Amino acid sequence: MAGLEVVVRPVIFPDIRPRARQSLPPQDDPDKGFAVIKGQPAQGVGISYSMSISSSKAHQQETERRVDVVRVYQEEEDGTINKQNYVDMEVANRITTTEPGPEGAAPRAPGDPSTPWNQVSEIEKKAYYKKYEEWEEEEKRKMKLLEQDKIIKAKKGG
Amino acid sequence: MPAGLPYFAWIDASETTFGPEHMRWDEAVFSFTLSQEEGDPASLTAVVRRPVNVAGDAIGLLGPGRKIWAWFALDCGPGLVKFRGRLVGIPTSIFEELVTLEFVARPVDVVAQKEALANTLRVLPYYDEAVIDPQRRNDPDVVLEGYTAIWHYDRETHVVTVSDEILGEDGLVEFDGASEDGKVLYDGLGLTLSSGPLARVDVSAEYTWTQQARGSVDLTDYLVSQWPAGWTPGTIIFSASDWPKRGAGLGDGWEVVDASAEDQYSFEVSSRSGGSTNTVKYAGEEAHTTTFTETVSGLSTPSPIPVASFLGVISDEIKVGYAEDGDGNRYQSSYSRNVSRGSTLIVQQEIKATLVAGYEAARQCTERVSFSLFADVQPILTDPEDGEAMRIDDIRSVNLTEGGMIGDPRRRSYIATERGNQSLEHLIAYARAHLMKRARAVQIAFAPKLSRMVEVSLRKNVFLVEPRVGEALGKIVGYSITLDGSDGRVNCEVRIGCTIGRGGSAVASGGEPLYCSIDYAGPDYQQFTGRTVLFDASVGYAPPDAQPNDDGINFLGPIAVGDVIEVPLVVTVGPDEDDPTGQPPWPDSITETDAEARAEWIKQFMNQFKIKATFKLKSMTRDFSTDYEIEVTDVQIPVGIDLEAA
Repeated sequence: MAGLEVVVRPVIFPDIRPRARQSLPPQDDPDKGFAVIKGQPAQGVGISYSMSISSSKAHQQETERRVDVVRVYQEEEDGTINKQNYVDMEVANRITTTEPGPEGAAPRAPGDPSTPWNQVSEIEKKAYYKKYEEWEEEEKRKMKLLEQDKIIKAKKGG
Repeated sequence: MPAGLPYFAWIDASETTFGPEHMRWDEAVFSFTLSQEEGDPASLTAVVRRPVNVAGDAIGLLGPGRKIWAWFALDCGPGLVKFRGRLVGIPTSIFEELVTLEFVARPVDVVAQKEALANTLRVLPYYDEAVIDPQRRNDPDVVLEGYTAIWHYDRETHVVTVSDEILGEDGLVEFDGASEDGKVLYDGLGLTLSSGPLARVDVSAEYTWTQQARGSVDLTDYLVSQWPAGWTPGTIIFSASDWPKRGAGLGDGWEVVDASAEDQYSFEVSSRSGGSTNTVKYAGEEAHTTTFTETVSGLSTPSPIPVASFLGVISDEIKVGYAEDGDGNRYQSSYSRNVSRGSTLIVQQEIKATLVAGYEAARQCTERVSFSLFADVQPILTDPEDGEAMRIDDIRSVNLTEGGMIGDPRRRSYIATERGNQSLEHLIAYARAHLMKRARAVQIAFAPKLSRMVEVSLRKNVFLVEPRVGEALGKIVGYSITLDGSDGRVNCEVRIGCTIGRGGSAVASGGEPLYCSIDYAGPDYQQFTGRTVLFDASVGYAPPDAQPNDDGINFLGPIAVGDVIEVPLVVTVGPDEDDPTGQPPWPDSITETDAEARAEWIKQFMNQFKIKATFKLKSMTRDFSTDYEIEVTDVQIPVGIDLEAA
């Protein structure tokens, strides 16, 4: 009968078991798996100090003086004017001076006012004062204008 | 009707119940053999006169329209031995006067019946799907591996059942050797030994699962307490930009899940300037002017105390101008001095930091269970201790996590759980089944009287008393009834398989609790020593205590930092391994190229402040394996026959 019928006696086949894992489990490597936290807490910070000091000194030279020539009379104690007694005086109403420009600067080209003043070898400055007609009448009562705006050139080296 | 008269009726497949109408002779039975072996359906070999039609011509037994089912019955006196079977195969000797027909009582729905029955048998501990390949779990034959049972096919109803191979379910057929029907014939008695019982079964099995868990551990206090402290309490010397960010790896299965770092200092540089100008006028004109300016930069507050400072390149430039006055005399017309000095301050950043490490464990855990189960059997060939042993070492589980058997996948041990104990019991059942089956080493064949054959089935045991045998108790493993047409004699044979155990039963032991009295906490709460739990009356075992050979992390409870640190934190301050060794000489002269040299010098100088912290968290991806040697009792096997007495 066995040849004609399926043998139904239980047969436990070896492949009923779950398959084994294909590879061996990896061993824990004592040199691996470390957590590493590293960094540079130090920092270089640049700081600075700077100081600047400068000084300049001007040596002005008078080159021209414009004056009003006046005669100043004596005033008596009672207020009268004694025209017999007097002095003649030159009262400057403009003084022109020059001072050296920056070292190495070129002389101003003649007739070229466009050159900046601080780039020429000689810097000209003018100072103005009250002219005769601007004086107080009380002052002028004791004076007489002899010559107005007389130009007096300074001598070189003077 | 006289005993020994056979009936033969061709039937339809639907005639499943035997009735008086089937007591007929559709074929003239010349001889027959009705037999059934354990685990097989019953079969009938009938030699009948060659069927002919009304004209006397031979007809084909397998022709279309012919019935292939038959009821066969044999009158045994007290009752009928009945057989319902299906014609199989091609009749032999078909051209002779007598043809041989072969029938088998195999159910047509055997597969469905076995599957339905198998479903009821898939119960722990006899069937453990943990050790069955998922592709094979639907195989009904697989379910019996833990049972000492075998399929049984009823020769009449074709109902498929299972029958225990040691103790039949349908009772006992007694042959007392004294009563008239209790005697067996003198001839036909035989005793054979099988290859011998199994003395021992060595079992080793592997249970694997993926230990899965996820969570987090706050490492902040641990790191801060062992880190170089900053000036401000609670701070450490480090830079926020270098502190690990969320998602950064921290080892196998670890990463940063939450982190914060706040620099305590901005290191912003602010500067202040001051100065004065002194002008002397003459005649309304500036005649002499002196100007002084100073700029000083420094760190904005708050700022740390520098750990070092280095002077940078100094620049000091003096200029003197000359001119000629109107008299042509040379005079000093201008003077200027510009001094600048750079410095580099080395400062260290401090941070307030937090760091929470998250883990996602996926660790392959394996428990190797082994034990040797001995059978307490009578010596048949030699001492059982030296007898045949079977090794079962191919048992391995599916991934218990995927299968769900582990329950909580965070567990460290499976075999010590209730489910694990059931797996262990399954192994014992499996090994026990082998021992029991092989302990049925003696087979006795005898010839009962025909009248007793009605009682015989493969679901019964026989108790036999026979002077030559003595007493024997065994499971019926086969029977046959044969009629030899040449002499008209009916021969009956019954074969029983007798176990050669010593009787006895396993004894349970409560053991000694290791923690507290059983009354206080119950028997399932704590571990015991010397405890024996009975699988059944034949064998017991000591449930193993969980002793996982792992790294000690218990994911089922709260996890502290100390639980996960494998290599403690080491913080080193100084150059990295790949930094240049040695410090270059300090450049003394003040030149432009020295500025670069100084920068390089300072860069290397700062290497000594580098911080490197290393620690190792326990791997969340490694594998573990634990061996368990299980203590089991000997398997107590029933006494089927006492060989020592015989």
